[in-house]
Amino acid sequence: MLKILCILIGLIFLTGFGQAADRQLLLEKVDVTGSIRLPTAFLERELHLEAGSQVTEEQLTADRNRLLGTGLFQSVQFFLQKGQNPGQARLRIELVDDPGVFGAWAWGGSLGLTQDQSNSENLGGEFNPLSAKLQLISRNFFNSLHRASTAIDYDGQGILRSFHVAYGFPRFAKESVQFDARMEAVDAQMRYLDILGFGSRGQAYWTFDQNHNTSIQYGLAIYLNNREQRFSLPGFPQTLAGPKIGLHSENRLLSFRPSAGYAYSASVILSTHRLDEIGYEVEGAWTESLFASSSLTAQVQGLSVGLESYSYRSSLRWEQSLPILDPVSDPSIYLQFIHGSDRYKDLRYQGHEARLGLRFHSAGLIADIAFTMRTFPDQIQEAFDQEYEP
Amino acid sequence: MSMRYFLLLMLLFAPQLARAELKLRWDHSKEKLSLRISVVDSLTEQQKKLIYSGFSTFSHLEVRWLDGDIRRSLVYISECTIKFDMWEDKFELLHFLERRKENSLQSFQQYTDLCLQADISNQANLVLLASQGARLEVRLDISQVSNEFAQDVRSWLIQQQSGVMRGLFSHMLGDLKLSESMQTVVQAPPLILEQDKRMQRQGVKGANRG
Repeated sequence: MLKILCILIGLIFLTGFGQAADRQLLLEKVDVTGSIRLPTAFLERELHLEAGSQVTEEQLTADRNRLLGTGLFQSVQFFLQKGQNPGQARLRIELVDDPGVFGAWAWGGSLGLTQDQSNSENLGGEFNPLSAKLQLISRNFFNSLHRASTAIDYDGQGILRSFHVAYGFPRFAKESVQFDARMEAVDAQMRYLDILGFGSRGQAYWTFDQNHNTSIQYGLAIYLNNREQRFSLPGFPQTLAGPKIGLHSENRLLSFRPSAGYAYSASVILSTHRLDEIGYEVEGAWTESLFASSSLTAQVQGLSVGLESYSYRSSLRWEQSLPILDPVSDPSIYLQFIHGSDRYKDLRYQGHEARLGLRFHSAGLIADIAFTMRTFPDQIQEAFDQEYEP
Repeated sequence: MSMRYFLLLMLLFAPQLARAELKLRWDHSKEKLSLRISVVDSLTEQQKKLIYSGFSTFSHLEVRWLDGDIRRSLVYISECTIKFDMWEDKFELLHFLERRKENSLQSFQQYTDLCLQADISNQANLVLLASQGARLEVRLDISQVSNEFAQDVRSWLIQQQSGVMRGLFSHMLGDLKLSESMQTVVQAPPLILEQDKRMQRQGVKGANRG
């Protein structure tokens, strides 16, 4: 009996110590310094950190980590001080903006200039004029964590060869759900290796995070090959549309240079058009760090519609940093080989590309200057001509 | 003429260099000989602020051999997690790599003795250091984010890549600065030289007294 009593008293003491360790703090004031990316009112509302609220250190620690996970700040530090009123505390949040993006809306961008030489007669066979691709992103649209990106790709003749628009609704880092939508179109003839079976795509889906960097995705997908438009792959299925369900896993951080690791994903598009036209997508990527600040990335993407068509793209990319130049702009050279093929019934396209480029970044902008040698399928133009014959 | 300017410059910079130096001494006070390197005078303002932030603070102190500019093996490593209790005005030791028994540090001095001082007592290292001296790299990281949470933050950023934004979200992402770091190189003299100096000082003092 005495033993049981001693154990009970011991447990009460232990519980008491546990509560003491997780002390409640009454906030007298909250100061946020160092950034205008998230307004104080927004932070107070989202993190429930208002004067007069009671919090524990555990809650504040979680809040600090959520702020770090937004990708807006390079550093987030919390400081407590005794308040003017007894028993109350002042919280000071010191933020340092991530210099990789600029401004309150966290803008970033990239500019790619490519000089290409094509072996295809349809593409001229000579040095084509320089083409330019401009991308813009915002990680903090409207100062409230909305995300958006857009890109346009013009060739030297001033013709639009590809574009995309994407939008992501806000999420705080630790919340496990996000919703994104994206629309893109690519000129199949001039940017053959940038497409996969379809020239135009629209997708909108939710992503639910699971454990171990894995997420489940579902939503809607519409893939199109519109007749009489250059944003299509002629002779291929015209539409693949329906609910999309997928699994994605990645442990690489794709910053300016990807970290070592892997990525894989698989998804199914349940076509509403014909039951035997289910779309299957797979993707795998692997990045390995090599000696002396260089890395090697291998990537494969595949898409099939039913069992009649398949498309794939594979690439191998070696990237080497150049410490001899300005280390702040982190310059690197890369060499990339891409191969791709599309097959549908009797039709077969095939192309490959070798690319040598220089990349560096400065003031939130990434510059990518490359020289490419491309071999694109001439049959695309023939198929276009047949398809559009009156 | 240029030599005079050079000497003038050296004199101007000498006091600053001296301030940045770490405290390094051979210690015989315990039964075992050890080399002690204290980083407390080299703490940056931000590191001091973090220590007194009122939140759990992680410190990682490591000392490595330097061969030219090449970093060699680890000589000493220490990891502490402390929290300054602003109500009680004392430090609480939450975790220590060597698992000592203390869990309450009454003063800043106790904290620095335990967590901000490298106490190199490994016999093999001491033999080399005592006979030849060495160039050592001392690094101190102080952070509010534990290694475990740093992994979590990285995972959250990776998961935000999984939507259609993909690399566009993160390809502009700079490096997260999760800790305040201080790194410096110190020249540890051979023990014999230290003893000679001490003997010389004692000799001078003795002579003065005499």
